Amino acid sequence: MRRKHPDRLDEDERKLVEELYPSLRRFASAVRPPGEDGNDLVQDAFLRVIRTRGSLSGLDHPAAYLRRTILHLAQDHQRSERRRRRAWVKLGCEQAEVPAYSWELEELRLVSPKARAVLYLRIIEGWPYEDIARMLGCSQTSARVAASRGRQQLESVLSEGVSDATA
Amino acid sequence: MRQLEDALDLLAGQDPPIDTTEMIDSIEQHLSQGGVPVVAWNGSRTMQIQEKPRQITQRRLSKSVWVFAAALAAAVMAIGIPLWLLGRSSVQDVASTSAEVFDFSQDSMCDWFTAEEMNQIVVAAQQLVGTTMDFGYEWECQPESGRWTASTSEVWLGPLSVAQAMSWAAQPHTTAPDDFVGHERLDESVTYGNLHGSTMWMMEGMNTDLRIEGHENEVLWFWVVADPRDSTHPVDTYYAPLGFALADAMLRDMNWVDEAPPESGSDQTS
Repeated sequence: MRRKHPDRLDEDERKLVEELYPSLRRFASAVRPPGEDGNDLVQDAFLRVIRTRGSLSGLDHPAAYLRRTILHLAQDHQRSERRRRRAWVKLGCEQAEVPAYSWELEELRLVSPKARAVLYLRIIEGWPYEDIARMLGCSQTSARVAASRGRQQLESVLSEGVSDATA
Repeated sequence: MRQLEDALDLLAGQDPPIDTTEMIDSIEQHLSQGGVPVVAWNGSRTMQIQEKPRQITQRRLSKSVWVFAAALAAAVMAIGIPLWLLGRSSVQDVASTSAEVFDFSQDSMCDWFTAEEMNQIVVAAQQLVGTTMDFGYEWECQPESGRWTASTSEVWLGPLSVAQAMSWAAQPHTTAPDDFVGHERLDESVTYGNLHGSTMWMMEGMNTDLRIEGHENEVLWFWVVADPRDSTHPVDTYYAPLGFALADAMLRDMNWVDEAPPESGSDQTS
């Protein structure tokens, strides 16, 4: 049975949205798949939390909880997109248009959302791996593995971009 | 490092911010309306109805765009529905054929299996092998290769155990083909014993590579962090059978048929 959720945000929740939105938007933009919008992921994350938990205010660590929700949404979207493309091919239709970042970011989508999430939190926001693991609901080892692989992939993509530009 | 930081910063800044009042209004509007019902695909491969909120970026499109879209949709329906009815019988023929078979030329295991399904397969495989050892698997999809990898938590090595692991990894083990009953063509190599390292840390692990005749690259690949010093689960008698059992379960779900090997030219698993 669906839990009854409120129709409006109370004052504390409004303040929380205002406070968390800027950092959540940047995180969502960093991890989102092509074709999505970071603002949509943030909105969906807020809605999902309110609908499942009944309120934003009851969370012990709302920023961490919402980040994890955003990452899961990004992974779901990426997975759905792959399934959709596969279905198009199997139905014999022409390949659906593949959404893409702007040209200079095209190759970065090869890096998984989780790896981008870990690298963003580590390099841009400066969190230690212990906190990143707690935020994303994984072990420190898993976070380090994701960071290592993501770093190698990103550096490879970036070095290729540089060599292409100088060729 | 600077370049990496710039790239991440560029990614994070690609979606322009909106006013938080607009965000709050949109959230409240969806809460009062309950979202827009859509048909969605869920992990158990059945269709279900669920609520998906209309996207805030979509709401910002101008009214004229929606009017144009409605007119276009009406035109498409007027032409498309008769065409669809004409072609419907052939679609039904396709839908009523036998179970879907994994196509190595275009399918990705990341899409075929969910992480939860991988967990269920591991549990079933472990029961076959005769253990319920809980590694705390964390499945992760590698989008560039379309493979699932599993890593476990907290395997850290000191200098002595690194030496042990290197000695272990230097002698990759290969199992006998006969062990894989039911999939005779998966016979070339199940190797395990690997040392995974990086500049930040070192850990030991196991690769399970399954290859098939006519396939240049491995058909299935697992990477599981393991501890060769664990006498409870010796490498030779535990990991290879576990790898076989995992592969067997996955291949069955993929409706793999030994008698119908894929074309060598369609190998896309690398």
